[in-house]
Amino acid sequence: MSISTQITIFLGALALVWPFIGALLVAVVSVDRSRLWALWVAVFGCFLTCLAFMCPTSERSVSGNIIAMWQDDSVQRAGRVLLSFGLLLTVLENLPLLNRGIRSLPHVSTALSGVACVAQDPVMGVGILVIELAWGVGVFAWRAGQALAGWNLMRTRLVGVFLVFCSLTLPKGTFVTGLTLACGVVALAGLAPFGRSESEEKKQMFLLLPLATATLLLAMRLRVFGGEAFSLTLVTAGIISVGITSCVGWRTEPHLLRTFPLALGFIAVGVQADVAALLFLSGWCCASGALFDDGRDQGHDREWAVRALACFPPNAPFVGCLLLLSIVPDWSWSIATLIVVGLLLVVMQGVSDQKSILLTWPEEAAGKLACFLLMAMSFLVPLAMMLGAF
Amino acid sequence: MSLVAILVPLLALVAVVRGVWVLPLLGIANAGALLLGGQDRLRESVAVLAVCFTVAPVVFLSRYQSETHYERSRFSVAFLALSFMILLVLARVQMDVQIGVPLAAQVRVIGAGVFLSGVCTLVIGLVAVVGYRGMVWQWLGLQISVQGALFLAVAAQKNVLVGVAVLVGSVVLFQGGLCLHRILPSASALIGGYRESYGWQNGDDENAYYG
Repeated sequence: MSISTQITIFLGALALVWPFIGALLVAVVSVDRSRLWALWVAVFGCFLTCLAFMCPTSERSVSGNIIAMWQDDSVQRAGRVLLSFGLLLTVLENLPLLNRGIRSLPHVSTALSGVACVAQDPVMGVGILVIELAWGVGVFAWRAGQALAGWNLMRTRLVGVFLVFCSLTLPKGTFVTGLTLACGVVALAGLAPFGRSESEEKKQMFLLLPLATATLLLAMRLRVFGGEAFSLTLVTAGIISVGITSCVGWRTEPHLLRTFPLALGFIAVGVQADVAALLFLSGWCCASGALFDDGRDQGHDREWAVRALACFPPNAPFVGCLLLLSIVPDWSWSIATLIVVGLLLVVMQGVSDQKSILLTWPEEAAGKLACFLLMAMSFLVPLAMMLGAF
Repeated sequence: MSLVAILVPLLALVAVVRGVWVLPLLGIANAGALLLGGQDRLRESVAVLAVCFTVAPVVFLSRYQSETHYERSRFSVAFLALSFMILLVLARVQMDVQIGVPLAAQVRVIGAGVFLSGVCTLVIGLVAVVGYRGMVWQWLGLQISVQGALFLAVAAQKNVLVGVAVLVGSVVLFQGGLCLHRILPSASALIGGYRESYGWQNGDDENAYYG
């Protein structure tokens, strides 16, 4: 093994382990300094995952076959970059927290999600997600008055875990396997209205954001188990979620809009448009956390997040929509029509208030960074596609 | 397929209707079915864990007052679970007819009846989790699903699956216990309340009240 390969493997491994080290550091330092430490740790984590994205941990053997050190393709690596930027934005959006467990939770969940995505066996990945869920719920439920919320969160997600588990013991590629696997994945990700817990507070996003991202990335790897039925069920679940978001109205039910990019992401995974799923995932990672209103930041304008999630240009989810709609008609015209109608209904609710259709620039630092990332992704991902990176 | 393996989903169905005290019977039946399928170190360990996972909730809940929430839908949940069982049996027959080869390969590893029994137990638990509103009943549903998962994992003879099933079982046991501990009032508080309302002193015979 050459020196350069060893260095890339070391960098890739460090990128995976770094959030654990970050969690330890953030938990150990005092409350006053914890936010600054968390920021530096998250920034370095972003740098490491970007490096790991550019230098894949695989090498060509003597016989010409590519040997991967762990389950790694460019989409999965890009997904881990999104995870690390999601962590950075979570740290930026929140004030210093007193509880050591909660302030280190975003780092722990991001680390476990990253490890789950590269696990050799998807069953092992699901097991790591269970550990992540248990850790997060343990941290939440330990606080006074939060046990019921923690229980609801765990119960809904464990239903998904059991369905995925059951499907992985069934014969590969059959209809029942695909159906059960897709239902499990959707419930585990918490896609509205299938897997949403009854009460959600902003701090739950520390756990839910990486968990749903990892589940979507795992869903891409689980396609080989589920076969045709898996894809069909994922598309159906996504269309139902899009339809409910467009019909119920996300102005009155903001949680529906929060999982709107996830719904489109699952449709994209179903039709095997993984790059489009990545673009929707960037909307979920960068903008969904900003939609939570915990009463502290009433003055901030969240219109940028609403527009990013509702697939307005020039954000990455908009480019994802274009990419998705260029692929879906090959699959089925009726499904393409349903998606277009759902999207238009959601977009119409966004333009009804006479504000600018285009970007509204936020005032706070987290919003500015998120907007910049969403715009950068909308240019960089198609460029990377044209250059053959995906 | 042993008779005990058929008994496991039936006991799961009884547990869904009658409550958490049936759970140890389910665990013992599950352990028996696992040990009758063959005796190696893995099966023995999982059998012990299956009994532990079912006995621990009963011991734990005896320290707390019973949930005030009354489940009216117990029989409808059981009926729904039974319907799912019948659907699963029919789906297996359909799979036999339609795709034969992949199922035959799976059956060689697991054994069709044992496999179906595990899936049924898991699904009965999930129906209880979704159908019930009370936290103790939902916990019961998750415990039943854990028994099904353990059974399936051992029957599939995949160590990764066994590991994940044991992990999920531990998470359900400890996290469920933690959440219930924060919500349910303890039984000692009830006895303390009786003490106050009846003006008992230390040393009085409390059993006389329950008489």
